[in-house]
Amino acid sequence: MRGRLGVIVLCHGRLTRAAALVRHFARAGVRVAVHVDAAVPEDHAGPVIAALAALEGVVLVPRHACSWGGWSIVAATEAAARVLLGRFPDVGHVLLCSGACLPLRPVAEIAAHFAALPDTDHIETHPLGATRWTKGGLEAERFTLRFPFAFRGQRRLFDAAVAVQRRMGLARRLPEGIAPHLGAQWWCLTRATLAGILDDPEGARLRRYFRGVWIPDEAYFQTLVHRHAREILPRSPTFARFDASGRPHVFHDDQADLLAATGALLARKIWPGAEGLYERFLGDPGPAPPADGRLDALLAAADLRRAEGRAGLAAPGRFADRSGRAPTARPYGVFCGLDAEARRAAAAAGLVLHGHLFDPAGAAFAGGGMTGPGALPAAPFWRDYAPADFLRNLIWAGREGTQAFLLRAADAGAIGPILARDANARGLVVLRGLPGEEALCAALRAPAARHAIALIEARAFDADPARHIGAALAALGPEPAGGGAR
Amino acid sequence: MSFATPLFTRLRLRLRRERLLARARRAYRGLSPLADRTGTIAPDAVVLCATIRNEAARLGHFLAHHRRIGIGHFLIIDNASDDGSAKALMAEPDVSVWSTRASYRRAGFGMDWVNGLLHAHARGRWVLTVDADEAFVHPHADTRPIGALTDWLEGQGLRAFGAMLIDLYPRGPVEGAVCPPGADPLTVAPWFDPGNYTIRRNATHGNLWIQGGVRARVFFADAPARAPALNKIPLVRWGRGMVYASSTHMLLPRGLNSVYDRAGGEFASGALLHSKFIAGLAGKAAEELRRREHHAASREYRAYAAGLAAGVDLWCPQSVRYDGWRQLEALGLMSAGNWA
Repeated sequence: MRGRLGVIVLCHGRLTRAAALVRHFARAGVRVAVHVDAAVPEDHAGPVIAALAALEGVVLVPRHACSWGGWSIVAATEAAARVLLGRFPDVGHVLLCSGACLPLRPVAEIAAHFAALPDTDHIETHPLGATRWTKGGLEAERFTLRFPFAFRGQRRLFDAAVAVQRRMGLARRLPEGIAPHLGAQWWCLTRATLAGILDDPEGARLRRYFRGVWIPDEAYFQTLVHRHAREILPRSPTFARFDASGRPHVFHDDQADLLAATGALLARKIWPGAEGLYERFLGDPGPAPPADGRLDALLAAADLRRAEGRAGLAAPGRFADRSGRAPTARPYGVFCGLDAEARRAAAAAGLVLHGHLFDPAGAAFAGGGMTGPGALPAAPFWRDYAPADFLRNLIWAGREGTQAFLLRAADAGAIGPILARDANARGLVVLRGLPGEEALCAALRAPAARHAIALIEARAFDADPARHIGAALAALGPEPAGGGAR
Repeated sequence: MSFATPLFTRLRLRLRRERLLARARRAYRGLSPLADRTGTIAPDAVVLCATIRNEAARLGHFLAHHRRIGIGHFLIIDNASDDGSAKALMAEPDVSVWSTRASYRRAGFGMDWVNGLLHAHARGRWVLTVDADEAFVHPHADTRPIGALTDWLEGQGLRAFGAMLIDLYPRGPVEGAVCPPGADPLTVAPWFDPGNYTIRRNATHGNLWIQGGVRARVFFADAPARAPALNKIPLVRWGRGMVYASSTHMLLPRGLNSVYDRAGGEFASGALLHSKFIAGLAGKAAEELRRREHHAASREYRAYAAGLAAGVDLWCPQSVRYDGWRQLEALGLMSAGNWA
């Protein structure tokens, strides 16, 4: 049976945009059931609700108070679905949206898309255990543990309750007749499937169980759909992504083209102030561009930046003292006791070779200026105030090439232990029995040392300098591709 | 606050916070309102708070820049200006002005006034606290207003946002960089040091301590420990019991200072473009030396006065010309973090 499209709009927070969305759907002849979170203050919600209730084809649903991660969102969704199906017998598919969703295609095109597949449910649904769907956090345990505390607001108690149940081996039994599935909250189901879920003879028992599941809006319909569907297209019609901390990515005006090219019919979550997005997509979005993965790639890059950051960077937002990673951006050369040979070899290999960076009189930068990479002053005070920062800055600022410097054993007092702990320190120390060598050797040989600096007797070096220098240069690896920075 | 912190330290910080809160309440009573338009502030507006003294030449650009990034209202404390600054501010419809002739130094270098004003007028709001010679830059500033950032921070469950002070300077003598009143100082002083910053962590307060840039390189090269701190937490969702404890370098309770990641990742962070080094600084330095109202017996201003008298050129071959937030992010001075 071909039918009209029905839409459930779940609204929280600021309602102006949600109201515009409802009007947009209603204008296109779509039936809309609107649920406004009971937590939205009456003075804000009241007038908006009154205005929407007057629209043709729009029905308001009794308000539930919705709490994140709880059953109330599913309860509100089911209530809205009942009202929508009951009030509008001509509805064939029901699309679930939030007030922060935005159609990326004209409503008629979206309705036609679903109507063309009258028996198909569009819902992301992954069987538990196949591949991990959630980003961190609980997955299978969403179904087997109990969650008496709120994740947001009672985080310590929430975590403690999980830990206690794990330790005691407590687990809820899954009800018979279901295979747990997870997927995004936003779907489009056929009337038959949705009615089947709402009127499932086992419904009371299943609802009782799902009341205790954590984040049931990503599990209830996604699991029960398998009891009633004829055909499932296991993909959400809505482009919605979560970041690594489980918060939704929010979209802005500058991402309009990227959103259009996701190939999705709708997107979430839209920033309420994104005037440009609302203007474009509630107006005429134009022909659909070929789908590409640019927005997903952009979001993945942002998640990676947040999770791992840029190696060798210390910044206002990154102080990686607990990362266990090398403090510098990339491998660099250290040559001790072989100035002339190192100069020749470095020139041949295309390294940026500084002079004696840790000379007590001041840093001898390549080029010999009063300032070096990153505008580091050559004056010794600043360098000796924070030698590790000096080294990190030097390598970071010069990371588009490979840097190397000369070191006298006698100058290595402060920097020796820092080099020893830096896995990016590569090079060669030739031992000639000069002052300071003993201390440098001790630092470089310390049990915690992670560097790749070879120590070698002068006799062995003098016998075959080319081989030893060659090995030291090889340890620096190839030049960074594409400049290495970004 | 971590439970690992010794009880004594927690107690000491708590007492300090209570003392600062009491000072703030007292300081607020000493401010006289010249123009109180706080009743007109939109419910979700991001407000800016600043203490100024004789900034008439800078105010035009200061207001214009921050209006452009989406600041909805300005809360300004005028500390005894005699150049018409207060009058000019009172004429602006989105500015509220208070005045005081009390000592800047004895008001905790102005922070008692700021804390007092924020508790009286900004609770529950996002507040940007800056100086008149600073311009706030946030990730995506070219396409998204500051309200997009604060909404995103809110969605992330964050209450504070860090930014680093970027000291800008001209090429050639500072007194040659003449910035006409109301103009953007970036046009005459667009250079900065790209990568000579030291970063430590203050274990007691949990904030970072960043030093470096041109001031450290030129004026404090032989006394690095005294170089000015460049770490700031200028953007905060103001709430009950909060105080700025030392300029905007740190807040109490100290959990607010955790605006960075320690496990290797990057938090989103911003920058404050600091246009101190333009023509007129020599006169200002001389006056501040006379007033002795600034930090560390105005050592900083002595250093400037000496250097400026000698016509020092702050520019060096590694200096970089400012070219927007993406450039600062590429250099590692700020980050969009996971705000895609």
